[in-house]
Amino acid sequence: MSDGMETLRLLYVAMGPGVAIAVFIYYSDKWDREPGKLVLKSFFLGGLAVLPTYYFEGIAEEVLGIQALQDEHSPLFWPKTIFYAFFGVALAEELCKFLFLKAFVFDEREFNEPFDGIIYGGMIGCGFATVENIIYVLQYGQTVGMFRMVTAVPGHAFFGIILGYFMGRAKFSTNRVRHLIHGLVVVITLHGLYDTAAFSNTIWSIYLIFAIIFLGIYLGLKAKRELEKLSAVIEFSAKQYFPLKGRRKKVPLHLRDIRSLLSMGKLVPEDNLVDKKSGKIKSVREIFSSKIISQYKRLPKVPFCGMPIKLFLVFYQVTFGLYLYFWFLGNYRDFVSYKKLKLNPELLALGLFVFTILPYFIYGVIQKALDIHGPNPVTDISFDLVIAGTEAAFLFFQFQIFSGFLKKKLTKSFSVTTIILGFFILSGLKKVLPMTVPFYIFWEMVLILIQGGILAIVQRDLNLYWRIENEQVNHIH
Amino acid sequence: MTPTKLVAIFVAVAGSLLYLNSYFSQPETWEGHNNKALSAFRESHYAEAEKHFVQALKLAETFYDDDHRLSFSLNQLAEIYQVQSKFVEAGRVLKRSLAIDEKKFGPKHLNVALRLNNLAGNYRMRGNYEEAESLLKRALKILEESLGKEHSLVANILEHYAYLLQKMGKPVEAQSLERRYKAIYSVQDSENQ
Repeated sequence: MSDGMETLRLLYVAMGPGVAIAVFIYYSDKWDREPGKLVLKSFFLGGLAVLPTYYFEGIAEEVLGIQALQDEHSPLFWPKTIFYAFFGVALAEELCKFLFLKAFVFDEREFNEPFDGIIYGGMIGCGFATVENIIYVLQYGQTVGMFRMVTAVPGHAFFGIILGYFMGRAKFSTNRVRHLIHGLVVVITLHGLYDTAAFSNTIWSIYLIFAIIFLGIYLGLKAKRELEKLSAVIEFSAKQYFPLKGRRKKVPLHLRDIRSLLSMGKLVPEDNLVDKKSGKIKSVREIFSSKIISQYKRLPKVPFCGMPIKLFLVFYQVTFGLYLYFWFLGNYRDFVSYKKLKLNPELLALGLFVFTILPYFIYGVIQKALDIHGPNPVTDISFDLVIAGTEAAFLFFQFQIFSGFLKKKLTKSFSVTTIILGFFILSGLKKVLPMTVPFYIFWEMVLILIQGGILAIVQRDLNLYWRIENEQVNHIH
Repeated sequence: MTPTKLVAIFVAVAGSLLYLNSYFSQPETWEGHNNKALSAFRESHYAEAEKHFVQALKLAETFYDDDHRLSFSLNQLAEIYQVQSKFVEAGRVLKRSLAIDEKKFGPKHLNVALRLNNLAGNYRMRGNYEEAESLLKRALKILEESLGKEHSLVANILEHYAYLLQKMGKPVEAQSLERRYKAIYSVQDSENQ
């Protein structure tokens, strides 16, 4: 492979995971999608944050002594490593993300509800992760990229979501400073623990790294879920308020109208409104505070809108098929929320991740432990096929559930067996395709495109299903 | 403009410029080239690995005479040349590595014996069987004198020597050496059990 192609391949590996998570976060905002310009700005600000933090980290390395940080037998190895992890890296990186978010996004009028913190915080995290990943992967190669794909990249993205959660709450709270400090402390602690594990390079490091990443993902998804509920309340709440200023003083406003006026700049979070029912005066900050989540259970059932097929295919392709994990989670969440299913989408998505990504690392560790050098085609292919089978099994159970619902609404819905079989064959081919084959990247892209095409059949039926559900709900109302 | 925005702009501009300045004024290190070379080697990109090993060697040549990195770079470069069937270039590098170790440790050191074995392997692959044999005899003598006749490294050299003799069309001598190294291995196996 030529140098140019090689760089392109590495860039693809480096950027895919960050972009995949960014797309997932962007499409999580179901009721009031954020303007693309501000979302991109946040992503690039995250990327920009890498440069000043790296400079600061370089200074910290020089002060503490790079040799002392690399040699675990050097005196003061542990205190220096912990200090460097928490104050040299975690504090610098998270503080810089926080600063950029606070300075350039927090006061924007499009940041008009707490959930937007998740979007912009997540984008800053993804931008940071992507640029940092490019630097690492171009320098150390694909192996490092594959490892970071499941550790540092989701780590940064979900730490960003957690930070954004607290910023979203801070913007619409009367106790802004408490939320901001709380957010910073949580992300610096998580990030510091992660870096301590990564830098100490001991036998337990790898376990601690994955434990912290899982904790970060779990907390991030939990935070996202909470503010999604709040967002749904803003969209559908029947409560009404009269503004105390402006020409529309006599017109009662729903929460979603207040949100629109915020984005138009006709209201600011400090403005006061009168509750139509109780007559109490409250600021927008108080009205949009997390207390209104309690109204969520009383909301009407709201169907979702699906995702354009072209967009799905583009994301599936540009993320090297990694979008599958987020698609899997998103679909489960839509149905669980709409049909009130007793399933845990986060746990199922985490299960898919654990059973299909982690075995590769365990396999690598076993090979190393047994001192096995060089490829063993029979074992490698069998292993790849088992993983492809596991992926297919997870999708099979999901599609079985969906198919049950779809059959009631669509005259002809997709065949679960055919889709799963097609997916399994392509997934297997994609995994066993040797990198030495001529035009490897081209064939890999073709297989991903066909695999995405197969899943797009399911997406098409889901879109149809949600459209019918929406039409019926609108008809009833 | 708010104070937070001013601070953020300052951090973004000053921090980025300082980082970029330090990044571009920093030459690639020996470790950097070595890591890139190893990474390319693992991914079977041999031409790229060779390029980085050559750069690493150039940097290693600027270090102190007794720095182990020079020897390390020479051996890595020889390895990548051999993988690409560039046996002449590999031989040149191996000869240099042997000369350095002879000067550094003296002609009867273990390292010298191992370098002789590597160079002998190179000569064998190029079809220079007589020269390879003379080097192996020297390596064998050094190892037998310093480690004894029953050591595993001696067995390794004997195995290599026996293979060379087979190539030279001397099956009787080769079988005699084969019996010797197999005896050493079997003793070691029984000791390990």
